[in-house]
Amino acid sequence: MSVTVKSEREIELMREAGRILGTVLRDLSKEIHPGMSTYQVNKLGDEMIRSYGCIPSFLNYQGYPASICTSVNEEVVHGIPSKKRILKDGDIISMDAGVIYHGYHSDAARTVGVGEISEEASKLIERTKQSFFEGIKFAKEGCHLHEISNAIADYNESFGYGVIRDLVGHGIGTELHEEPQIPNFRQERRGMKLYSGMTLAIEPMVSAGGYSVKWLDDDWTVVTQDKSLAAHYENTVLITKNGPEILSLVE
Amino acid sequence: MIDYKVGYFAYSMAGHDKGSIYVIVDVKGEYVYLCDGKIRTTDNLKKKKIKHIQVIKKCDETISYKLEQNLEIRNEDIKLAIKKQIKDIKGGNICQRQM
Repeated sequence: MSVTVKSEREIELMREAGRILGTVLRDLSKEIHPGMSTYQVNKLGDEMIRSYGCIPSFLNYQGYPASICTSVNEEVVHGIPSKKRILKDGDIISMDAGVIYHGYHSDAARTVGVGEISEEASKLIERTKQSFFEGIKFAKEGCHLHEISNAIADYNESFGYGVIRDLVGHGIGTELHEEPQIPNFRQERRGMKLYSGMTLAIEPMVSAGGYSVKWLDDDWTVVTQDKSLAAHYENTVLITKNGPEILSLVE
Repeated sequence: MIDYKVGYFAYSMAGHDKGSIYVIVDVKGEYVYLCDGKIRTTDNLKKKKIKHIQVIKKCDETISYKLEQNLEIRNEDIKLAIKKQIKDIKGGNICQRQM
């Protein structure tokens, strides 16, 4: 396994890519409302990304047909935007997107409620997000990769949630998906050592029920097997001596 | 939402000028007024619906300065700005939507 360590110049470019992506997801999240279709979410997100002079990295990636993955309720990831899928009050939607800025990638995801959502849904979203922050406590030089995985798993499982196992986080840089793979579930071995300059996309995907998932007939959309609600939170993170630097979070 | 400001670049996404790049010189309601300094000059602007353009939130330095100082923007300023933007695109980031 070969994991790249980025130079200062590369890190600067990834910072800018992350800043743009964080801004897009923040602004796009504010636009979500009942009555909107997931097609409209994608259209707006695509336009926002391009308005910053970036390329949406998901579009046509391995054949994926959109710029924003829009996954609603029991859909975990890779939902395909559609004019027929209309968001309604009480839904939750995960928006996952990537940008390319001067050849460098950033990848991030947010889950938000549509209108008024249940307390169960709200807790799932908040705890999934918090599990990311629990994980990145170990995203620093000298720690080992699976310390991140185990922290994410332990936090989510303490609430009885299912941590998705069929999809994982990943390295990122000049490619959207680089080594290493970053599972969100407990690992026996501690994994590789982390070094400053590594850039990782850490992305807990959590179900309110079991962790089993299946793929729909479109060959993209991943749903929970037991139809439980699912949340997703992701950021691109730079490993440094002093701790993690979250590149794609703008609040 | 996306803001469409005077000075930003815009690509035409529909019509016979699809793919052309302009600078936004005015915004009124659902329309923008575009200039490329060559065919669509400052006294012969292209009127287009906002939904038919892709904005790039970037303003050329000279145009930005002139806007701040309330100075007249010439066709030559716009031509040069567009030339630099095209060079920037060829050098690295391509931002045009797949057509």
